[in-house]
Amino acid sequence: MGLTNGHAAFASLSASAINRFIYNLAKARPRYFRFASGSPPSYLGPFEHVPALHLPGASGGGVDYILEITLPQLDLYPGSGSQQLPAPLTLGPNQFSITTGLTICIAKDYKIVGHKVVPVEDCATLNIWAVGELSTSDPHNVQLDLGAHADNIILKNVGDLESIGENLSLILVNALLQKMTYPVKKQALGALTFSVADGPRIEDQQIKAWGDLS
Amino acid sequence: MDFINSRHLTDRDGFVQVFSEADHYIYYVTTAPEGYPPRHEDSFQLTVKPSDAAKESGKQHDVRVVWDTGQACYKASPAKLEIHQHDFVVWHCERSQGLPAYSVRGQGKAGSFSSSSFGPEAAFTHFFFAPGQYRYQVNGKGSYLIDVLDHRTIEEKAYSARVSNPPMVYVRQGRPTPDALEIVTGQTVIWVAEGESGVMIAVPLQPEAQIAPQTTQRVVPPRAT
Amino acid sequence: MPSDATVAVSQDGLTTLLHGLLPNGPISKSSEVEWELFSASYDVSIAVSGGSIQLNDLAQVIRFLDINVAGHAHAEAACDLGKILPHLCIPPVQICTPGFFGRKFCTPQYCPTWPSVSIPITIPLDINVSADFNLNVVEDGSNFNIVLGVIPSSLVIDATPMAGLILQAVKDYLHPIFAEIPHIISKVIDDLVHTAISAFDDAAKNLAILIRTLLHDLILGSDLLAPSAGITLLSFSKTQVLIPSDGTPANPDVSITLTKLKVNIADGELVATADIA
Repeated sequence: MGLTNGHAAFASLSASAINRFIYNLAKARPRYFRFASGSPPSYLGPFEHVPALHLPGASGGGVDYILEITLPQLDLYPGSGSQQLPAPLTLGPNQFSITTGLTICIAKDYKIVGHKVVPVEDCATLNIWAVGELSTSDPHNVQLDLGAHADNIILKNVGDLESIGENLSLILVNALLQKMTYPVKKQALGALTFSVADGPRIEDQQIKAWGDLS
Repeated sequence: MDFINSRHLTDRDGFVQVFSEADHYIYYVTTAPEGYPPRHEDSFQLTVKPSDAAKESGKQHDVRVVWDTGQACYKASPAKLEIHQHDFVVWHCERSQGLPAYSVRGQGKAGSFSSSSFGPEAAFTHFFFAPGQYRYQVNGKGSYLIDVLDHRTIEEKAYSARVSNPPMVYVRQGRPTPDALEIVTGQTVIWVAEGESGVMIAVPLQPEAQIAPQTTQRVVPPRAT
Repeated sequence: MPSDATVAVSQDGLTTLLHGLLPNGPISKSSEVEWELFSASYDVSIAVSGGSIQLNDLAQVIRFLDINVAGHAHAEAACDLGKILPHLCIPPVQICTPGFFGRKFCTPQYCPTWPSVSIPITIPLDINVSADFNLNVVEDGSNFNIVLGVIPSSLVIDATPMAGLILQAVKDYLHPIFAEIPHIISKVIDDLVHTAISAFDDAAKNLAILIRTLLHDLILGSDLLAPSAGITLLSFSKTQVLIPSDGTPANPDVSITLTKLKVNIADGELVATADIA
């Protein structure tokens, strides 16, 4: 039976292919990975504008901040061994793991440099490990969207803010993963008119799908 | 249907002339119509020598009429023929498909002969190839029937018997006897002008309704076992 | 380590793909030939359908078995019968009558001119053919194509005995022509037919070979079986757009790029693997 396992066709993408996709996503659409309020420093590059944090006692429009998601790296079950997941995270059948980071900078003060007002930043970086599964937006439709839902996320080195940080990070990572949907019927790289009959599944470090030719 | 016209001879026709008197003839095998001099055609010679033999001992002499491609005219073979009084000559062209019709016309010291209007002591023959009902005229008059049956409708033995005698039609005072015939394809009819002169036999050009159509149904004759 | 991207097609899947590559509707081809005594124009018109796939891992060959070829071959064979038949005059023996002015007169014979004939010949075709294909990856600008190339010597045509059918058609055509001639008895008709058939024999065999060659060329000339260019079975765009642009400059296409494609036959499947840059 080989790869097709009783079906007309089989298609798979490896973790390295998906990581290449994530890299290209970050290059093409950097705004998915960078958020800032106010006028952030130019080193940030293109970003998604968000409102400042309005806290009691904060002067002016609020507290400006920058959130930057480090380029995520994905691994597929059973794993390549390159990602050491901290307990209690484990990579199970049909699961993927993501390692990424979140850098938060707030403008604690402002100074004048030349003719410009620039923020004085205070930054911290969180390391994020997450495990997730594939999902489909419409299981009855031939077109399956691959969406990943990170539902188990671990932060380190944040003390009592760990729980809050984890929840915030979960929201951000999921928001990113939602943007990484693609139709599984394209899994055959456009070479076949492919309707998915089985899968997609994660195994052997690949996302696999089996289908019929229409 | 066959083309039948004694004034325009083809490879299915023969012209026969009996020579009862000694003479020397110069004659032509010509494509020119009667009354017109022969074209660039050669002339041929026929010498009739005197003879004391009885009339009935007269012999047949065949002259082959052959088309000369180079000169585009008919030639007689032999070009010079010597016969005896009471003999008769048969002119016949073996192959004339795609070629013009011809006439045989000769002039002697005392007499003359012409296939265009033949007789006396002459005959026109026609080999019937195609079946059908032929209505012909004698000297441009009348309507005389020859019903030609398809040989494929007749059993082989019966056919052989029928074709063993060529029917003779005698033309007297411009009328044929018999005035109707039933024959089969492959038979030759001989129209004889005995005492008559200037005879012409032709199936005139007629509207199709008056000509019986050629049988199109192929019938395989039963073979004798 | 698994390949970056893998696409595999089963034997059944390949059968579906290859059926889609067969020519739609009838295809035809014609030609003509001239020999010393005969000439012929001929054509073949066929519809190609069906077939099943067999994959050969060892030889890396795809075999397309039992493709049905149905239709007909038609020919018009011409010759001048005058060049092959003996001179004939009828009646065979002159018929004489004794009563012509008292003399014996033998009527002239008639020697028909044999006509030139153009004999229509129709040969029905209903045969199965098989062919082997090798696989190659061919780059053409923006695509990697998996191309099937027919191995011409593998195309085996189990053709019907055409020469016999051709000769029978000639016989059936000529027999009534000879039967039309008076004075020809059946034995003579048979002899004439036999003479014509004997003269025609080599031409019939050659014509059968030519028709079979034309059929072969026609089958090979169809897109699927063209030996020169091959046919593209699967085409992979080098640039795979996974998330298309929404039209705004902020959201261009997000794609991955194939840098290499390999194809082979393994475990009864066609397997294509790609490297991604």
